[in-house]
Amino acid sequence: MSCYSDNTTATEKYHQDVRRKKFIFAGLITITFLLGIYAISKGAYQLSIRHVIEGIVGTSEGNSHLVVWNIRMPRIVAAVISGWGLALSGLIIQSLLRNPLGSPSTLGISQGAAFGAVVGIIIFDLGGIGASAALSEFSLISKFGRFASIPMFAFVGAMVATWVILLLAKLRKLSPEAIILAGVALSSLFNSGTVLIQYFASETQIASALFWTFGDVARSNWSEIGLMALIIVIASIWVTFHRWNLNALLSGEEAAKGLGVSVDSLRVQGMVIAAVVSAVITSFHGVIAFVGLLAPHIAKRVVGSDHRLVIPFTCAVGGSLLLLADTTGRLLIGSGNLPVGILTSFMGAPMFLYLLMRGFKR
Amino acid sequence: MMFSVEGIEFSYNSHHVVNNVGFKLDKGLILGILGVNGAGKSTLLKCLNRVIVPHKGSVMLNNEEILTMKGAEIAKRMAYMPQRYFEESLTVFDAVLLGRKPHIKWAASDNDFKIVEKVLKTMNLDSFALRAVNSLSGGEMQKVIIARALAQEPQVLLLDEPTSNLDLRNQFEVMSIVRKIVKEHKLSAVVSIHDLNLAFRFADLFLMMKHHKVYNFVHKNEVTPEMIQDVYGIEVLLADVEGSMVVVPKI
Repeated sequence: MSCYSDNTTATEKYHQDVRRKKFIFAGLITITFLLGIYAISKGAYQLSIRHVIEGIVGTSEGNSHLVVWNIRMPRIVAAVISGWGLALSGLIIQSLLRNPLGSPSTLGISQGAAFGAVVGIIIFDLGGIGASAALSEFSLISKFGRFASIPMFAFVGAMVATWVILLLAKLRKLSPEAIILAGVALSSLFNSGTVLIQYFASETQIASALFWTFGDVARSNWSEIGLMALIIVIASIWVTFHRWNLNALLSGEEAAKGLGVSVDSLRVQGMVIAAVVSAVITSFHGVIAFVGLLAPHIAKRVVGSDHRLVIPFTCAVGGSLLLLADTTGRLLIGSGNLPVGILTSFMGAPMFLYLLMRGFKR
Repeated sequence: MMFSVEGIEFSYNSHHVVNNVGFKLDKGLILGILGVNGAGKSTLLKCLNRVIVPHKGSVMLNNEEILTMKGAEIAKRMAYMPQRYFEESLTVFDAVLLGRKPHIKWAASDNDFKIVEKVLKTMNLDSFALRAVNSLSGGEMQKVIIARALAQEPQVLLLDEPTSNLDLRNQFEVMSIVRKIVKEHKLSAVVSIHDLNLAFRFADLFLMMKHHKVYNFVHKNEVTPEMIQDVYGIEVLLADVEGSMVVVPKI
C-alpha cells in the first residue's frame, strides 16, 4: 500500500480501505442487478430490454407483463434470495463453529431438512400430488391442522442435524475435518431415511418426493418467496446485530468471552437461525449444495474476515452466484429447465476439493 | 487495595482445579503466578473475569464485585489475553478496534477510532494497520493482542503465558511493554508465567500455586530457593547476576 502518503494516520488509511471495499460491494450489487435484467429478457420467449422494463413497471399489457411477473421474475427473485439465505446460513455456521468447511449442505442440515420435507410429503401426505388424500378426513393432516406444513417438517429435520453438530462441537471439541465427517454421516443417514420412506410410498408420492431432491428455484410462488424473504431478512438483521460478537469469536472462544461475549447463547441462537433459514429454503427449493459453503469463502477472499463487511458481501455473492448458476442452467443446458441444484453440485464439488487441497487456515 | 480476590474455587468433575485461592494487588504492580503445569494457573486467571464461572469466591475491583457484572461491564474493567489465539484475515486495525467492543453499542464512534489510533502509536504498530493479522510473526501478534487489551481501557490486565511462544528478544520486548504500561497507567496485572528468570525480572509479587492451592504469596525479594524447590520439585540455586535474580537448576 505504498500509494498512501506518509502523513495519513492509521485511521484515515483504514477508512480509505473500508471505502474501497464498499465501492466493490456497490459494483457487485450492480452486476447482480444487471444479470437479473438479462435473465428476465432471455428464455423461450425472448424479450427486449425495453419490454423487460415495461413489463416490470407495468406500462405494457399482455405477454411481456405476464412473462416478466409470472414466469421469469419469481424464479430470479427466488434464486437471489435462496443464494442470499444459504450463503448467510453458511457464514453463520462457519463463524460460530469456527469451521471453514461448515455450511448447511456439508453438515447434513439441508439433508435433514429434505428428509423432514419427505416425511411431510409421504407420511403426512402434504404434497400437492396427494391433494385429494390430504383433504380426506382420514388423513393425518386434519390432526395437525394448518400448522403442519412442509417447512415445519423440514425445520424439525434441520434442527435434529443442527443439535447433533452442536453437541459434537461442544462436548467433544472435534476438529473441522471431524465435524465434516460427522456431517457426511448425518447426510447419509438422512438420505437413507429418505429412501426408506420412499420404498413404502405410492408411485405418485415417490414422484412428488423425488421432485424435492432436485434443488430447483423455479417452483415457488410469490407468497412462498415472501415467506422466505421475511425469514432471511430477520436472520440478516440478527447477524448484523451480532457482527462485533462474531468478530470477537474469530480470536477464539476464550478471547471472545474475555471481551464480554456470551458465546454459548450466541452459538445456540445463531445455529437455530441458520437451521431455520436453510430449512425454509430447502423445503421450498430442495437441496441446493455448496452455495452456502463457497459464498462466504469468496467474500472473505475479497474483504477479509471483518463481519461488518463480510456479512453483506456474503449475501450478495450468494445471491449473484445462485442467479448466475440458475441462468446458466436455464439458458445453456438442455430443455431450459435444469434444476439449479444439479449445476451447483457440479460447480461446487471441484471448488470444495480445491479448498481442501489448498489447506485452510482457521 | 484496589484489586482483591478471595476464596476462588473451581472444580471440574468434582475435582478441585482451583481451591480457595485469594490475593490482593495494588495499582501499578505486576503479580506473577507460578506453579507446575496443571497447578491451576490458567483456570484461576479465567475465573477472575468470569471467562469460566467460579463456584465460589469474590473478585473486588475498587469495591465493586466483578463476578456479578454483565460480560461487557467486566470487559470494560479487565482485559484478558488467553494463551491461544486464532486469527483470520482481520486487519491489525480491526483486531485492535475489537478491544473497543465492550464500549460500542451499535457502531464504532470517532472516540473509538481515536483510542485505536493512539494505542497503535504507543505500540509502534501504526505502519502495520492494514496488514492481515494472520500474516504477522509471533512477536508482532502478541503486540497486537496487548494493543487490543489497551484499547479496552481496563484497570486490570490478565495475561496467560504471554511469552510462551516467543524468542528471547520478543519475550523481553513484550514483558517490558507490559511493565511500562502497568507503571504508567497505574494498572494491575496478573501474569501466569513459566520462565522464572523472566518472572523475577518483570513481576513485583508472586503467587505460588501447588496442588491447586496457594502455596505462598510473597514479594519478589522474599523468594527463597526452598520455595522454588517445594513448588517445582527440583533443587535450585538463586544467584544475583548484575542485579537480576537468576534461577539455576542444581542438576
